[in-house]
Amino acid sequence: MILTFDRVGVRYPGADRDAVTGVSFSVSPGERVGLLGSSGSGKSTLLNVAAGLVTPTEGQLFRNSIALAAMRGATRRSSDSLVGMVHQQLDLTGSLLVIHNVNAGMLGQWSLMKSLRSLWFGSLDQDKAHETLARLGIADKLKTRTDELSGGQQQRVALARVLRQQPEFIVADEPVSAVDPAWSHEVLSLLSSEVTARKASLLVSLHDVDLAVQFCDRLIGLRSGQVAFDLPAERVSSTQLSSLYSLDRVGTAR
Amino acid sequence: MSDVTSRLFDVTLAEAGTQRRGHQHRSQQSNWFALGRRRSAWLVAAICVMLWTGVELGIGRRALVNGSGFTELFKFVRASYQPAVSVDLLRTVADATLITLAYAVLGTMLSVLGGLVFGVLSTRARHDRLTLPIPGKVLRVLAIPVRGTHEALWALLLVNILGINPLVAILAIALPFGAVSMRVFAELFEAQPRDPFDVLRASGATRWQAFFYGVFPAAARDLGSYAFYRFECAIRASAVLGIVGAAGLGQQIYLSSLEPNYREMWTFLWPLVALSALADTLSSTLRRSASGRPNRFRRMIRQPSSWLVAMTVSAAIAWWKLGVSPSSLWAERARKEFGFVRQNFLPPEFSSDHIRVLWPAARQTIAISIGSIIVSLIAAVPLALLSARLSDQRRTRIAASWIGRTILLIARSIPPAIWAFLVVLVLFPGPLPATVALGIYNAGVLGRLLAEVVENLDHRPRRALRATGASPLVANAYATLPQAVPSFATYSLYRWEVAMRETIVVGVAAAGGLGAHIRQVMAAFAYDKLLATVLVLLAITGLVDVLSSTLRKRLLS
Repeated sequence: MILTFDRVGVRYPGADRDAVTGVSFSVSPGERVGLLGSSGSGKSTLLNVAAGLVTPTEGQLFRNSIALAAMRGATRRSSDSLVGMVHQQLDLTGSLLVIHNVNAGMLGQWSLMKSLRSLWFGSLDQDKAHETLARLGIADKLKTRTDELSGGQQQRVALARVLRQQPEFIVADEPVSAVDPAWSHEVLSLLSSEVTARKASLLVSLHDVDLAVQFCDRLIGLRSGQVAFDLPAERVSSTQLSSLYSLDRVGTAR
Repeated sequence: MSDVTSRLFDVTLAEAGTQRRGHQHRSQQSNWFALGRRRSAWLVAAICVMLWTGVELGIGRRALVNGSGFTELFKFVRASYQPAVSVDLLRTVADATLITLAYAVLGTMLSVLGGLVFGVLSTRARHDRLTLPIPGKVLRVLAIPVRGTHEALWALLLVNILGINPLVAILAIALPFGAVSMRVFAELFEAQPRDPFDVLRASGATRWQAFFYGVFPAAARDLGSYAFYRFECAIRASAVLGIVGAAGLGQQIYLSSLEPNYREMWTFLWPLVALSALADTLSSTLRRSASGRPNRFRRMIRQPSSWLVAMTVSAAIAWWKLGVSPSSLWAERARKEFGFVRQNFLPPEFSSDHIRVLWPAARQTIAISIGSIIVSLIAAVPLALLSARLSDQRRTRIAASWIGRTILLIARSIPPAIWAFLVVLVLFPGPLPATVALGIYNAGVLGRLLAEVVENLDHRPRRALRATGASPLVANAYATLPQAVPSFATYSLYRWEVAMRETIVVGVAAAGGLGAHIRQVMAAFAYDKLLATVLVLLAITGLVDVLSSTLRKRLLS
């Protein structure tokens, strides 16, 4: 999937300035793009726009050259089902069994009847859910209630949900902000190999610049809601990086 | 705390976990002290309201106590430990118990189903427009008069359309309970975190799919415990309907009270108390086992299919026991009666003559509701302190808490109308006995809630005071009550709303307020006056609703 931001601007209701303004770039299949920037620079907003959770107040988002705003009903749904999202705050349903949270990745492709049947009969497609969990090393937790798992295990479930979905485009908002270094590596290499193997794309926001350089082909720096640079990972200079995080009256306003 | 959660808490009667309630207390406490600056103004207002209530109830204006009634009351109390027993009577008891249960089961089930369907449909647009066919707001508005009308009134209205029919009692329970459940369920759905729903939507799930994977499971536990709480209420409601004419324990109690045969009354009262206690323990067991480590029982009750089986079986038994025939809803007779009702009820009688009767009765009804809350607080606060289970307990304390709990249980499992019958033995008929009867019943409910509040308080200050040598009474006054007052006030205000609806039943039995008027117009078959009275009652109920929630908001926010 080719995802294109065309002069995207977002202003939240009641805010006195744009969260992002005039952002244009596009992500091609097989690409792994890292978003860098201090907090409040608009990373999450851009990722939410990419996932279709936030509608731009200016400009357009295109998926395979079709404007997202122009898609309705089944077209929108099938386009949505090609985009998977991993959130920092996981967004799992704690009272469901792990298997259902994993299969929730399939909802975009399942009918309502099938998804209800799956909930009721302890899940269809058990093998696939099991396989996905096995890749993350928690195959034995298939039939455990999700809120009985540790934080790290829940993160694996959230990843399993996205892997199960097999999206063409993965949007990841700070997927490793709250985990130890070893597991951060594991998560990112998993996402990165998934993307490479299936010719999908990855748009990920990261705090850790070293990880970003290591796992991304391309880095986009955001500063006060605008693109400061958009370069192949190996060509980003340390001055450019430090300018992102330098104390900046506008960038860190409030 | 948001308005939704606070209202939810009132309505679900603190069904949910301790943790959340602990949080509630903290936020209440700070605000209570903010209120303190205008404490004297509140105090003056409260005294004025109490004085007005006393005047309306006729205190000091006429003879109130009927001295000769005490021997009767004593006979009644003595009969409690020697209920009448015979084979025939026991067979009637078993049958009546089953019928009461059957009404409660079918009424609850219908109300929970309806509440779920309409609750989902009326969930506010926050969750990405779950509602489609009818705007949720319309449903919410339509539900207000449905839940504002007491079960007994519904039964009176329905019996005119359907005749003597088990469906009358079932619908009389299901309609108001369904409307209340609808509101609570919608609020429960709205109170869930919305991120899982959004993320599922973003990955291509439809609204309904995202609802069933992201919202419903998260709310399911609270839905279940609320449904069980409704079942408890339905048992009491089903007994109350006996007084209006539905078969079951309530009817038997009423029949024996006509003679009066006290020993026989107790034969039917004890099973009612037992049924209430059973539903009570069952629901708290289920609530507790919904959390905690899984064992075989817990795993079973967490399985939705076991719920479905249990519900289907009990509904089938109840259906068979009552001989329900839904076809009577659209039978020839029902259609004809409906025409009759339409002709005789409409338009409601609001002539100036009638208003001159309605106005004082309405004032009296408000006074009854306020007075009953005062009576129940006087009884409930000491009983709650007595029955709260605290961790540092000696054996005498445990025994005391059991005694307190039993008194509260009996107070709330005997229907208010029966209390009214008893109070009328010693107080002359009028608004005062209605107030006292409702107060006793309410004390049972309020006492249990307040006991839970006390259990969830921070007890370290009290222990510290005790360690310095303060007497238990002083320690409580300094360390327990200041913490508890805001919750006590909130719950009392919430119970005031409920008491408002109940005034009608005690009014019928004890001859006070609009209830007494309803009895008169029913006896005269003046349906247009009945409708006018019901509308006035609805208006007052709405007023009290608004007033109570405004006051609660002032206390909390």
